Order: sequence, then structure tokens, then C-alpha cells
Amino acid sequence: MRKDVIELDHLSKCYGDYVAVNDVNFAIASGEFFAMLGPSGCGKTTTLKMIAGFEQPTSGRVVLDGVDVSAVPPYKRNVNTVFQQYVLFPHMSVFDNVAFGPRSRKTKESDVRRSVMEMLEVVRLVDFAPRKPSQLSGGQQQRVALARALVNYPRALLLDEPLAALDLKLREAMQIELKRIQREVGISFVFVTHDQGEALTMSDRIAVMSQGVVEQIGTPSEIYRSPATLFVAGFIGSANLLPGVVTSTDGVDLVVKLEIGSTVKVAKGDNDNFVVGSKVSVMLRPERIRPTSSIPANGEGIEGILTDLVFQGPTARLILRLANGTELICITDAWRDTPVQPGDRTSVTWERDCGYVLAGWPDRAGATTTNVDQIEAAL
Amino acid sequence: MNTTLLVPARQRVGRNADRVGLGALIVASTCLVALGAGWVGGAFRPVVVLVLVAVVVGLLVLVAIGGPQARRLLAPYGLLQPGILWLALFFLAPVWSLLRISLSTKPSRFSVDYTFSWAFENYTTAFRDFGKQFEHAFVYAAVATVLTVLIGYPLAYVIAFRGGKYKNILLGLVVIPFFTSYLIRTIAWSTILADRGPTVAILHNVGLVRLFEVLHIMNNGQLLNTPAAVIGGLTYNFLPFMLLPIYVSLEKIDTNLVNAANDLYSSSVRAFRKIVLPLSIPGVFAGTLLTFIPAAGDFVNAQFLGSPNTTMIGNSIQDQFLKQNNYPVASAMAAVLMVSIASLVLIYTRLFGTGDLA
Repeated sequence: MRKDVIELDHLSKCYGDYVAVNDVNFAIASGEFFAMLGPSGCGKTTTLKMIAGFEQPTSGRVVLDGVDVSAVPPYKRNVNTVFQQYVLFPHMSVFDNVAFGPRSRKTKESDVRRSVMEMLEVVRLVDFAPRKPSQLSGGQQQRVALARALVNYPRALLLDEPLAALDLKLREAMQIELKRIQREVGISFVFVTHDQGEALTMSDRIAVMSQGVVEQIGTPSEIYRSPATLFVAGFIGSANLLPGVVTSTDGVDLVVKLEIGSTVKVAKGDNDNFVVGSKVSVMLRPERIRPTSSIPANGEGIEGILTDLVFQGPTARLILRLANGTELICITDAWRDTPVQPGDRTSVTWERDCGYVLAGWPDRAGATTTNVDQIEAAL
Repeated sequence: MNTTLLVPARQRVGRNADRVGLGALIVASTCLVALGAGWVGGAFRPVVVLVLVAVVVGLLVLVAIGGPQARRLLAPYGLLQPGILWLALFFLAPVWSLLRISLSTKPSRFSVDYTFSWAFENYTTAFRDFGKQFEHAFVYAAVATVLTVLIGYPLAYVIAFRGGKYKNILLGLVVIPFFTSYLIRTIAWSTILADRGPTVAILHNVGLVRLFEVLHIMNNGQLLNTPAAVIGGLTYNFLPFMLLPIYVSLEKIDTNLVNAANDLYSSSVRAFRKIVLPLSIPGVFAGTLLTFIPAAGDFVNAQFLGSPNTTMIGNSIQDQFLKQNNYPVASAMAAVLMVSIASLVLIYTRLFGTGDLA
């Protein structure tokens, strides 16, 4: 049976009138790598600080191992934080930094020595024990910060954008390293990031947040393949979101009349809420659609002019301009010849189950009132 | 100009730039000390001036025509020159004179002349007759330094960590009184603490006089003319010199370090002891030097707030120089004061020096 280490129960945080975190509910299981993902200002760091105890929730509870710790100060909570800028103690050696937690808990010095060296072994920094933090590289400081937190064997490790300060190469290496360390120590990691690639690569589950609200919680593939909201669809990976209205349904597929004028047939998926007349958006992942030069008749499918073809190494990126001026992005295998050239009339095709329908219209994709009127008039 | 001669000269300059630069500085400052301390007289004086000018100008000319390499190597010496020469004329020469006078004798008590005679008895006199004043100087300065730490540290801490948007206003409030002259402020204190002044009156009304007498803060019903008044004056006058360096070192501390310590099971007290305090020690160190050194040589506070029983060595030196006209003994006292402060500071630096934190 799954055991929850951290449970957030209707957690909210307000700063005056500004609601930073709005009624967040989720539980993190023992040994889980859990990411909170969202753009800056979405409330993910505030949520993390409430778990650590640096912020007091305005309402709701933080439950740690079944005990409500909402009012417990940070130094009495059995969780540890890895800060964004590491904040190693500059006047202490690596050893003393890592030993800080155990010594605070009045551990016997011989035990401190043993557990610190063990943890430095895990992060592969044994030889650096006598050094000062200023003598280490960014990646090494990062690992000291990890060791300093992990040496206490907390119930959960909270990481606040821990890789943000590293350069790309090092960040990729540290992603793998973090995963390895997490498996080795078996502690739950709660990881805050604005980098969707990072979250997808490392996490067991992701909570996508926006404007203080959790939009969706799920495994990386759930979130990528079946986003719950338009925000998630747009934030994770890239997505072509085409607004339209459901005109008919046959139980398996939906026929959607798009804003651009044509109709498309899309698999209905698990969502049964769509009826004729529902305002929906069709999500097409760029890598799931193919360009073709054959233009379907009777206004079916999506058609536009190929404006750009960008070679990107393993893939090529095609940009189509649609009838109403919006752009559609299509990513294809760069090794295969593209049947169209820039300037050609092009349409895209996809396998039956590659389209995905979401409720609502994106507010930024040009679904202006006039367009909406046009769609409704067309019905 | 003969370029064939100049080319090897340039190379030589490049190779020996350090020797040339350092040599020029040493020769120039020796000349200045010789002039300032009166080593040479009569006909030799213009010669020394000539050498000095030649060396200074020579160095500049070498920098100008010596080519890029010589310029790069000699430029630091050129930049050091004004500072070194200033020190030679206004520090080394006077110190030399002081030491020389301290070993001189006066032909008679009322004479203003003195002759150099290896008169070590001046030092004996300094120690024998002015031991009490030396003791006062160091004890008062030390107590005042400790008090400035005790007052300044919490104040700096509050301003740095709790000041918020009022930080600069609070710092301004600390510094504003010091826009008034040092002397005026000290004299103001002598009014505040005067026997018929407001402070003594309030103490009488509240009935704290007895307690203050027991604590040796008051003496015979007086606040003024006590060691406490002198120490209080020193503490007041040197507080900003303690507060500002401590504030600067506290201000630099990332509050996330305290958060991290809290996160690692440390209470606020332990976080302060293990993180904030050690990281602010360089500020305390700088503050103690800036306070203790001038306080030990101070004579203004003892003069206006003290009595003949609280005279500090600064007062005695001033007295010997300006009233008794006893330059040899005054010089010996000044020399002893300088050497003892220097050695105390040296010991202090060795014991508590925080070189690796600075």
C-alpha cells in the first residue's frame, strides 16, 4: 500500500489581496520523485516554503507523516531543503557544512563523522571534505548542498530550482545524478522547477501549477499525452491548439468545426463531456502530424501555406500559415524528404488517435469575438 | 636622440624594472626623510633636493620613453610614488625626529633646546612617572571598546536585519550627531553630566545616586570627573567606528543562510551563534581596531569629562610637549605609546585575525 509522507490539505497562502497559493491538495508518497512545475509566480516555491515551514499557510494544513505540522517551526520539521543558490555556509569546510544538521541534533561526534563521510561518498565528494565552498565549482557546491540535506535522512527532501544556476551541460548531468542519488537513498524528493524538460525527465509525478492553482497532477506521460487543461497543453511541450465547436459525435470520434473554417475528425478520448455545440480546442502535437501536398476536398482537414522549413539536425520544423493567419507547427523526421517546399499549399494529416480534444478556447490563439461569431454563424 | 643606444637601454629597463622602480622609491623617500628629519644641513641640502628631483623625474621619464614593456612594469612604482613620498615626509621623518628627540637631553629645565645623547633615562622617566596614565589609557580604551561592541552590535544587527525600508534612515540617525565637531560634542557631554546638570538631578530624584556610587559610576555625588564619564565619552565618540563596520559585515550575510540553518534543525539562537556571529566577526575585528587605537591615544575626553585622577597618556604627552616644553620625555612617552599599541594590535591580529574570511 502506498504511504503518503506529505499531504497538503486545502492549502492556501495570501499576501494581502494577492492569492499566491489557492486551495492546493495533493499527497506525496514515500520514495517518490515529485515535481511542482509552473511558470514563475505560479505559487510553486511558496508551496514548497510552506512544506519547509518558512511560510505559514493562510488556511489549510501541511501534514507530515500523518501529523499536522502547519504551526511547527522549520527546525523541528523532519524535512530538509536544497536552496536555489545552495546557500552553503561560507565560513565552514565542506565537512562542517554537511555535519551541521547532525551536530544541531546533538549527534555523537563519531557518528557525525561516519554519516558525513558516507553521504560525501554518495555525492562523490570525499576528497573535498576539507575544502571551503568557495573553492568548489557550481556542480560540486550543488552536491554539497544535497549531502548537507540528505545526511539527516529527512522524510522528504525539498529542492527549490536546484539546477537553475548551473549551465546546460552540467544541468543535464546533475539531472541524472539527482535521480541516481534519490534511488540510492530512497527519500521522497519534492522538486520545484519552471523547466518542463527537467520535470519530464526526472519525476515520477508532476503537479502543474498556474496562478496558485494546481492544474493537473499526473505522470509525465499522462501530462504530456492527455493534458487536463489548455494551460497544461500549452505549457508542457509545444502544442497547436485550434479552437472550434463540436458539430457531431458518433460515440468514438468528434467532428469539430474549426475557427479556420474547415472541419476535422478527432478521437473523443476518455472525456464524455463533449456534446454538440461544446466549445473545444483541438490539440495537435507538432511531432504527431505530417505535412502532405494532397489537399483534401470538401473543407476537411487543415490547410495552409508552408512559410518556413527549418532544419534542426534530427528533426525539421515546418511552419504553416493557416487561413486566419495563425501558425501551425509541424516537426518531422529530418532524414525523410518533405513533400512540400516553402510557398506551397500544404495540409497536415494525422493518425486517428493523434488529435486530442480539450474543453474551452485558448485566449491567445486569436479566438476573438468576431471569430467566435463567425464560427457560430457557420453552424 | 641616439636610437641605437636607446634600444638596449629599453631591454635593460624591462628586465630590471622591479629593481629600478624599487630603487627609485627607496632613494627618493630616503632623500625626503633626510630633508624632513634634518639629517643634512648647509651645502648638502640642495644636493639632496637635486637627487630627489632627478630620481622622481627619472622614473617618470623612464615610464614615458621606456616602451610598452617597461611602462607596464614601471607604472605600479609610478603610481606608488605619491603615497610613499607622502608617508616618507609626513610619517617616517617625524617618527625619526620623535625617536631622536626621545633620546636627547635638555641642557637645563627651562631650555627649549636639546642635544642627542642616547638619553635612555627619558624612557625610564616615562615609565616611572606616567605608569598610571598609560594604565588609564589602555584600560579606558579597552573598556570603551568592549562597550561599543555591546552597544553597537545589537544596534547594527537590528538595522541590518530588521531595518527594512528604514535602514538608511536609521543609519543616518546614528551618523548625524557626528556632523558636529568632536570637541563640541564632548564639551556638550560635560554640560549634560555637570553637577548641576539635568542628569545628576534626575538621578537624585529617582534615588539612584547610592547605587551609582556603589558601582563606581559616580564619585562624591559627581558624574563628571569620574573614570565612568571618560569611558562613557570615549564609548559615545567611537560608537560609529564600531557600528558601521559591523553593520557592513552583517548586511552582507544572506538571510537564506539563517533559513538553511533553521532548516537543518538549528534554533534561531544556534543559527546566530554558528552562522551570523562568525560571519560578522571581521566587522567586529575592524571595529575594535578603529575604536581602540584612537581611543588609547585620546586626550579630549579625559580633559573635558575627567579629573586629574583620570588623566590618560594622551593628556600627559600633550602636557609635556606644550606646557612643560619637555620634548625629550614627551617624545619617549609617544614612542612607548606607539610601540605598545602596535604590539597589542599585532598580538590581537594574530589571536583573532580573520584573514581567510576577509
